[in-house]
Amino acid sequence: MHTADVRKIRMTVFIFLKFRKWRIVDAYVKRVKGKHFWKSIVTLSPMAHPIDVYGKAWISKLPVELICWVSALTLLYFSNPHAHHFTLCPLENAGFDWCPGCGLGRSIALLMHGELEASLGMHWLGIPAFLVIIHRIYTLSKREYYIWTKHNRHEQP
Amino acid sequence: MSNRNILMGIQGITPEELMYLQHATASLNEDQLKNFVFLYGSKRKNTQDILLFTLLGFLGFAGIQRFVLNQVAMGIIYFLTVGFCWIGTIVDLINHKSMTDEYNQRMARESLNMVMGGF
Repeated sequence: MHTADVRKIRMTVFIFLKFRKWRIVDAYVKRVKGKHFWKSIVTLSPMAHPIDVYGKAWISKLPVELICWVSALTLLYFSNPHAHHFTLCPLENAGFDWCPGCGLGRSIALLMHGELEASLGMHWLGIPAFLVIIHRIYTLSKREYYIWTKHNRHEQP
Repeated sequence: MSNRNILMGIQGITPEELMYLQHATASLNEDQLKNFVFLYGSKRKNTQDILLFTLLGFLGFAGIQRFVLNQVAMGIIYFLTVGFCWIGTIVDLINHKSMTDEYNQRMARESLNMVMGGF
């Protein structure tokens, strides 16, 4: 965290504890951050920890891709690969009968349940896709780990 | 910071990227910094380009953004499955900015290593 930011937060907390009056904190925050009061409250809230020097809010730092891959694999693991009841696929919902990715999800689900041959029969790309997704999850989580633990973001792997 | 003026010469650089590079190149001298700007400027990718490549996925040519960002295996799977039946393309559409950031930051570290190694 930037030294100036640390000092600002410390001062705010100090003032809040000493006077216990929101008005004073409010005035202080306004003085520090200009007229964008609510923005500054968000920036100073614990959710914004660690505030980095690049001025990014916590919500824009959410690892969307990582969450997507992990939840996809989890959902597939707990789905029934032998049945085909519902689909998220926008192409099939739009009325197309077939697309080149059809059966890939079931193939990965079968692979995770250890049924290699059934997985190959469902879609031949299931095994490579699974390996590539695992590798991507590894890369993304390593990056996340470094973002949250290293002092400077340019120290990432 | 003194290195900001030189870094601002990189075509299409964003403010966040500038902040990142300012901290990453704080220890370089002026010659090294100029070499860094040359190397990094040729390696970096624009967010808008990646967005356009991702949009091509809706026409059936999915995964070009992954090839461009050096994720070849992922690109092949995207291409052969039409971006996991469009779902992957939609995720990439949401995620194109942070994917580009990840790539650009890796390129920054690579360029930094090359400059430090006496390019």
